[in-house]
Formats: sequence, C-alpha cells, structure tokens
Amino acid sequence: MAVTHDEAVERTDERKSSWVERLYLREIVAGLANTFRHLVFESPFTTQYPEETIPYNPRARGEHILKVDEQGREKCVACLLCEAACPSKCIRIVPGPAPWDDRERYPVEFEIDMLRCIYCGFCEDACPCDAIELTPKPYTVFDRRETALYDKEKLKNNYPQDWRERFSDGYGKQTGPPFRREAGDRSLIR
Amino acid sequence: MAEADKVKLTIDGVEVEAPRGSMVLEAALDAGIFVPHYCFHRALSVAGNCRMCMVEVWPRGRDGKPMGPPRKPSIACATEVADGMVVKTKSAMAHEARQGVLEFLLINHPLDCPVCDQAGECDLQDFSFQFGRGESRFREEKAIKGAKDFGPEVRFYGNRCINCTRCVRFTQEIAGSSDLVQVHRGGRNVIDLADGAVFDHPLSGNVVDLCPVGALVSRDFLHKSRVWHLDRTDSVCPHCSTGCNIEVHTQDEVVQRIKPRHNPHVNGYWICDRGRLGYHHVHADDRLTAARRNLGPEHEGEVSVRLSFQEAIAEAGAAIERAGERAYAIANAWLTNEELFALQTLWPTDRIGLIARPPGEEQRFYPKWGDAERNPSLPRQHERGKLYEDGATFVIEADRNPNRTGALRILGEQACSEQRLDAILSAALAGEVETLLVFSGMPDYHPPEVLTGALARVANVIVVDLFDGPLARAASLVLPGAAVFEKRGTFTNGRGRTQRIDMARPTPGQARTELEILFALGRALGRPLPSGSPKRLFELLVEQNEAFAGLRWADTHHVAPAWSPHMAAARKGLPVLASPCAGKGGSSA
Repeated sequence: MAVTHDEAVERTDERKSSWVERLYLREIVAGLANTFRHLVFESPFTTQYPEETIPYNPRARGEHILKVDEQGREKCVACLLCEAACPSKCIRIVPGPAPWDDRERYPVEFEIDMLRCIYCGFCEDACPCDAIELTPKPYTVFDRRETALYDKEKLKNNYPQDWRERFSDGYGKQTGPPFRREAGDRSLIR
Repeated sequence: MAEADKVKLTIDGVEVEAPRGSMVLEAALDAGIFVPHYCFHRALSVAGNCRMCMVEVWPRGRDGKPMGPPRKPSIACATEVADGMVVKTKSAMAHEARQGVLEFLLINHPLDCPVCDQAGECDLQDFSFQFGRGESRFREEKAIKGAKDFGPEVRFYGNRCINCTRCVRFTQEIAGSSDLVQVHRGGRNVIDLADGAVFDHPLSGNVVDLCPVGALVSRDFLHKSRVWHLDRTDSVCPHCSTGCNIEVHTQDEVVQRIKPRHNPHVNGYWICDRGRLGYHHVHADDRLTAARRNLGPEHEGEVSVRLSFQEAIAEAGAAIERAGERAYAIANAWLTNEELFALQTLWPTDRIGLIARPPGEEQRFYPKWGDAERNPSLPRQHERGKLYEDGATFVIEADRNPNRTGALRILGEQACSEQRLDAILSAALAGEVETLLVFSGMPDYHPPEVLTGALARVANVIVVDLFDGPLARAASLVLPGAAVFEKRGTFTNGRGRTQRIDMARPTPGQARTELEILFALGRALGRPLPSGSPKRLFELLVEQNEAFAGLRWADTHHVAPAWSPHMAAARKGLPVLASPCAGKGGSSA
C-alpha cells in the first residue's frame, strides 16, 4: 500500500524546536570557527593555475612523441601498425626506403591529426619498435586547424626537457605507481 | 573421367572422391578442407620439402579396412590417394608435427615483419598464428644470409627464406630459364642466381607471388604500402592480346600494384612483367585532366582555352554535324567492346578506321625438364604447368592490344584493315575530311608521322586521349579519356574469349570514359544511345552481333580462387584465421 504524503508527515515523530534553537547561533559559531581554523592553521589546497601547476600523473596520456636513437634518427620503421591500430584514424604515414645502411624503411612523412586523436594509447601498444609514446604533456591547444597537424619534426621534439620537468617526474619514469596528492600537500606544485 | 579413374577416401570424416594419381593435399583442398602448405603449388612439380602439410594417413590393410593409426605423420602433398584411405588433417599428431615444423622454420627467420612487405599476406605469419607454438626455444645465433637484388623486378631477402624452392621450380618448369638455384647445405642453404645469370626474365615477377614468405619481394612495390590498405578490383591486363586476368590493387584511388588472378583457360597463375608494371601510365605526369580547344598559330601567347565537358561535347557535336558525310572516326584496339559498339551505333562503319599499337615479338615459354628416364614421375609432373596444347606454360602474344578481336567482330574486317586507315588518311591529306574524331589513349603509342601529318590538314580534329602527346597537340579539340583501369566493359582476347574489366579507380579531373563521351556525343547529335550502361550495351551487342551470340554479362567474369589460398578465403568472406585444431586434442598456442 502506497503511503501518501500526508500520512508520512503525520507519522514523523518530530520534536518542535524551541525559539532559542531556531536562532541557530551555535551552528553559526561552529561554522565560522571551522572557516577560521582553515584560514589560520591549514595551508590552501587550491593550485593557483596557471601561475602554479602540479605535475600530471607520469602515466597520464597526453600528446605523442616520436622517439629518436643516439644519432637523432627516428626509431620508427614505418610498419604502419599504429595506423592500423588507431581507432580514430588520425595517423598518416608515408613509408619509404631508409637513407641509412642499417635500416630497411623509415617514415618519409609521419603526421598525427591531434584534433582527431582520442589519446587511447593503442599506437603505443601496437608499436613493435617502441618508437611512439604518449607523454603526460597535457595541453593540446591550437589557434588554427593547420597547427593541429603534427608532422614528423614536431613529434620528434614534442616533449622538451623543461616540459618534462614541469609535467612529470621526468622522461623514462613513466612506469611508476600512480601518485596521490594528500590534502594540503604543496610539495608537488611548481 | 571413368569411374575406374576415381578413388574414394575419407578426409576428416568426409567421404571424398579424387582422381587416381592425385595427391591427398589436392583432394583435401578440392573438398574445401584446408591443409597448410608452403612448397606445394598446383602448377609446379611436387617437391615435398617444407613438411608443413603433415597429416595422419591410415592406409588400407589387407582386409580392406583402414589399419590403425600410423606411427608417424606423412606429407599430404606427396602421398597418393588410395581407395579406402583414411586421412586426418586435424589430429593431435598432425598438429604436433606442424608445430615442430614451424618451430624449425622460424629458427633462422629474422621476424622482421614490421619492415617486410609480405606482412599481412604472409603464409608464415598466418600459419604461425594458426598452427605455431607461439614461442621459440632457440637460444643460439640466427644464420645471416643477407639481401640482394636478383633482377630489375625482384629483390631477395635471404634471411626470410624458408627454402620451399617454389621459385627455383618456377624458373625451371614455367619460365624455362633455370635462373635460380639452391646453393649451400644445411643451415646455410639459400636461393641464389645461377652462375652469371641476371633475373630479368619476362616472367620474373611471378616468383614474388609464389614466395609464401617475404624472401622474394617486388622492387616496384618495395616499401610502398601495406597490403591491408589495398582495395582489390578484378580486371584484365591490356598489354597484349593474351588477356591475362589480373587484380588491380589500389590505395586511396592510386594503383599500387598488379597481381595475377588465376584463370586456367587464359593465364594460369601467371602474368608477365610488362603487365605487372604496366600501370604507371595511369598516374603519368602528362595525363590530360581537362577538355580544351587548341588555338592555332595565329593566336600569339595563348595556346589553348580550357572548356567544360559540356562545352567540349557541344563543340564536337556541332563540328560533326557540320561535316555531315565528311566526318570520319578513328577507333583503337584499346576500346572496350561496349565502346566500339556505341561508336558503331553512332557512326557509319564505312567511315571508321582503326589504329593500334604495333605488334611486338611473340614469346612462348616452355619448361626445361630434366631427364625423364631418371625421374619416372616427370611426364605426369609436366602436365601440371601446361597451359597450351603445344606444351607452352605461358604466351605473350605479338599483338600488343587487348581488344583487336573485339574490334574485328564489331566494326568488321574492312574497318580494321590497314587499307581503310590509309584511305582515310589520304582523304585527309587531300582535304576531303572536315571533321576527324580520333580515339587514342594507348600508353606507349607513338603515332606515325603520316597520321600526325594528316591531322594537320583536317579542319576539326577531335582527339580523345590520355596523354598530352603529339595527337593531343595536333588536335583542335581535346577530350581527356579514361585508362583501362578506370572503366567497365569487356575485352575479347586473341583467342576469342570475352572477359570483363572493372573500374579500379575513378577518372582524374574532368576525364570521362570513352563510353560516357560517346553517350554525350550521341545526345548532342540527336541520336542518343539506347543506354549508357556497359552491361546493357553488352546485352544489346549480344543480341545484334552473331559473333557474341549466347554470351551473358555474368559469364564474362571468371571468378577464380585468387593467387593465394588465404586471399581466396578472404575474398569469399570466409574466416581466414579460423582455429583449425579446436577440440581435437591439439594444445593451443
């Protein structure tokens, strides 16, 4: 049997507040005390973005980087497996015979359309040469559509040292555990 | 075939009938039971050296019943079928044998699939995935055999080779050149060029298709694309009147390569290198993409005026209308039957001539067999690659045009004769021709000077061509045409077989197929064609022309298994990578 609204109201065994209680003085004082306690004794939690930033999780998936070997040549062999794995079809590679003796083929052109990319990281999984990687670099901001097409040179230099220091624990430490930031911990803010 | 020539055997519980003397592998494949194999090929002799097609064969005992399970598996490609034989292709014994074979094959394989052009259509990849162990126990160093160019079309990667010797047998038994041999023994065994040989044989590209792995790859296709990107269109090679069945592989509307399509009545499994590389003209730099009116020498500076297709057709129609009886047409032997039929409908055949590419050298290929007395199975093996009555395995015809037979049948012998062309040209030189419609569009066609000289004397020359060549320059009105891979229709090859071509890519820019041009011209002249569809025109052609009587549009397309069993399965929509050993006791990889 459904309970009507009136019945529910009747059944509540509610004590009427006295007029002193209805002034809510005690609650107001307690709330103000809490505010003053945070103001005086606790450090602020808020990051003053963009003046301050906190590093992203080293395992976060941001923009791509094309890794290079000791001689500065891209490690990619243009096998096109990342292109095949890409669900948003944002990678375009033109393979060609490599100009170097120790390599069969290399990407003549390598282009990622950042407007289409969904940062799933499948390309990184598919790569047999460990040549493409997603960095924690978070900003993908463009002023024009053309700048959203990242070419090979842009991708090779996409994650410079100062960005590494600013946004992660550093290049190569990306397999560590996900970090947690405790309330009031300002040690990570840069 | 008489009953006595057939035997009955059981393969995987299925009762199968096979011709006596055939092999278990062929019987299984014919019955739709796939047995993995590398060295076996239907057109080549049986080598039996890859050991991949291991099956369990229960021979028939004296009592007529199958004996018990054998102690070891046998290779299906070299085991002759026998009455009452029981074959198990998916048993645990066969599966274990294949796993072992694959582990051995992969010992020296570099696993460089990311840079290998065969990846995606590689039998070693596919069979490793389906039948392999999944990991190698080999911890020693792999043998390194290097890479080199065998010839202008073929590059050899020794490390990837599994020594199936298909290519060696091909050069002996089909090409008849014996260019390739096996050298060294054991782990260093490798394919190499015979002493002093250069692998520039006209059929050399076929070893690339034969190679089940990426050891022999095409230099033309090297690092160009990935096979999973390619769209496949069935077509017919236009470069000679053999009419080889081909597949045109395109990516993003760009032709990437040509592959042979199996047709036992025409080309077997092969095509020649001229056909294999004969697609580059489609993307030539001087392709015409817009209609134009060439201005005479009196207009200084400006050479031509660009026209829209409709404007060009209207001008052409007006010029033909004005000329009346003094309008002539020159067709060519690269037009499809439907286009020739449309031209014949629009134009009186006594004012049509024909140009064609000049004939080349006829090339016939015969196998180079060993001593039949020392190898008693040779006569039977000989039959496997034979394609022609005289024992030839492949023929490149002298006529370098795909459809001269069709032109002869449709336009008639007189229109296709030299005399008719000479008569038209001399009339043109005498100033008796006012409008001349010339269909060219043949790659590597160099018009004779008498033709270009005659064009200079004609007031209105309308040229339909692919390239901005001498004919297009001599014309007053130029219409861009379509390459063979850009149209639909049928060709009739030198032996009278009518075969379909299909559109592998759209025409570039404003270019139209010759059929569309003729259709539009028919409307402009007030004599519209009955239809613009190649299929409908073909049906009308069959009704009206006795030489084509009884043909159906569907019959012009020979649906054959592709050049690889896996491709054949993929084309039919069958699962390529079905798990063959599920539930049969074989441990899954």
